[in-house]
Amino acid sequence: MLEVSHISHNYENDMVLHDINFSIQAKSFTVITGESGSGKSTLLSIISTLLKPSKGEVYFDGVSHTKIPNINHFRNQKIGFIFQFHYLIAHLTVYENIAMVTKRPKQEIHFLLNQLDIHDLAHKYPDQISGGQRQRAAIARAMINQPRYIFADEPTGNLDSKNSTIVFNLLRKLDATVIVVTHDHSHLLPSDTLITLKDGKLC
Amino acid sequence: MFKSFFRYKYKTLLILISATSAIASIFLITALGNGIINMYANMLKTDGDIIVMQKGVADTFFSDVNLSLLQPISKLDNVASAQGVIVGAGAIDVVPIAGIYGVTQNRMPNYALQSGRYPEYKEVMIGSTIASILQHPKTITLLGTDFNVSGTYKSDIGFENGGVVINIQDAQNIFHKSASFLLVSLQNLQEKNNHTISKIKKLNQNIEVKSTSDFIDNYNQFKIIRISSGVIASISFFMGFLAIVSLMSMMINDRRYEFGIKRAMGIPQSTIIFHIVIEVLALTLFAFFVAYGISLVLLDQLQHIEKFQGYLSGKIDSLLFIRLLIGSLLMALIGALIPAFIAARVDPIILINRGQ
Repeated sequence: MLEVSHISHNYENDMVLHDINFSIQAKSFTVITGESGSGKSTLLSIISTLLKPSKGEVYFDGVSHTKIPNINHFRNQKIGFIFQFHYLIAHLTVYENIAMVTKRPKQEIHFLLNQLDIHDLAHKYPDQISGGQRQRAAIARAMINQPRYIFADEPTGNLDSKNSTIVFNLLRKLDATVIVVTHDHSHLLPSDTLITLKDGKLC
Repeated sequence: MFKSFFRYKYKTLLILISATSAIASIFLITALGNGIINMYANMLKTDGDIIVMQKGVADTFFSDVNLSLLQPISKLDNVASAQGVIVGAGAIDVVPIAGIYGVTQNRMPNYALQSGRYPEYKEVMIGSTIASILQHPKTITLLGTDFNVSGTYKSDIGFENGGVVINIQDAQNIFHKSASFLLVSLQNLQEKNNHTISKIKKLNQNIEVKSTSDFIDNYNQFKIIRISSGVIASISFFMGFLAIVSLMSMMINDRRYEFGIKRAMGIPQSTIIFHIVIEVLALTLFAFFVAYGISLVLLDQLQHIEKFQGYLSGKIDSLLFIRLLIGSLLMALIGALIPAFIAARVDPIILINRGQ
């Protein structure tokens, strides 16, 4: 279970999140939505431990994010991230981008690439493949350590509708607690939890 | 690990060029400065454990010491030989300035003959460099006096090849002095130096007597060369340092996005910094050895440029090599680690967003 408790955040004098509270069941599919500037990406960054909140705490199975003993190990083993712009490292191949974050054997990486239908691209660089293929490579990187939580920030923001559907279908099939930020209304459903933000507050 | 060099190839190239130039210039300046000092020191040390100069005169060019002191000095215990030298400079035919060495006959064998014989009265022996510049002349004019060329010599002390050697008596007539300095070599036993020095001092009140090593350590011109080359090398080092620090900072800042992603994926800061250290060390080591190679080639070439008459003769000794290696690695590490440590303290998502 993931619990967000009294999260507020400000960038200097600009308050972007106001006392956010909610909880998410394990292995559920949650969508956070809202207009541009509503604070949804900031909220996802905070929930996923990438950004320290100005106030409040996030509990992972009852443990506060401030009490996690080794945050790097936690991020590496328990959390998977998928970003809008894929964020693959440009000078590494698809295979190397995934191998960089795991100690799992080569066969597992290749098996995963095969499942995502990008096995043939393993030795290509990000700028040699399409946007949809990059995003699938990013999903593979997020999945390789079989994390308990997967966070995706506008994962289809740069994709056409066909590739967006492929990506959302992939995310819905994952055996993990998946939290997706999107402003694309065509993919809000089906979801176990729908969280809508407006001006940094829950609606 | 080194793929990032190719990703940021222009910056990598810039860093390589800056580091190589900075390191090579430090090598060259220090080696040339030391080379000039060492050449002169070697000249003095060749046949002298003790140097006798005019009291109160710090520069050999202005010193005038009585040549007749050679005889009583030669008779002292533990003295193997004593030689007189006049060091001067002047125009030699078309060469505007060159070294003129007036030496006693017993110093002549220090100059290895390439052709001809050692000079006698009104004769001159010319160094290989100046012989080449003047196209092996039969006569030359030294400060208005004509001399027949008796032969050419080659000396291990580079700048001597850019000068000429005449009898000390001829030099006395040209420079109107008895001798610039006397060089005394001892039979053996370093500990007898002081004893011999005090005995020589008693021979004349107007002389300064020192061991050649003491003289070299305290010689003003050497101090000036050492300080100048030290200052220039320090400036060069500092400029190189600034260039490398700035470029490394730029490169690391460019890679904030990459570090942000790595940190988001749970790769520890220590691992990221370790990778940076390895990359920077590899880059700097490469630049260092390229600079070392360039410096060796340039030093070798400078030695053979006739225009410099052998004065630019430098060697890179192991101490300079090690000092510069450590210095170079340190400056590169500081340049890379400061921005890397700063980046390591920032939230990953901020690094990613700033780095885009």
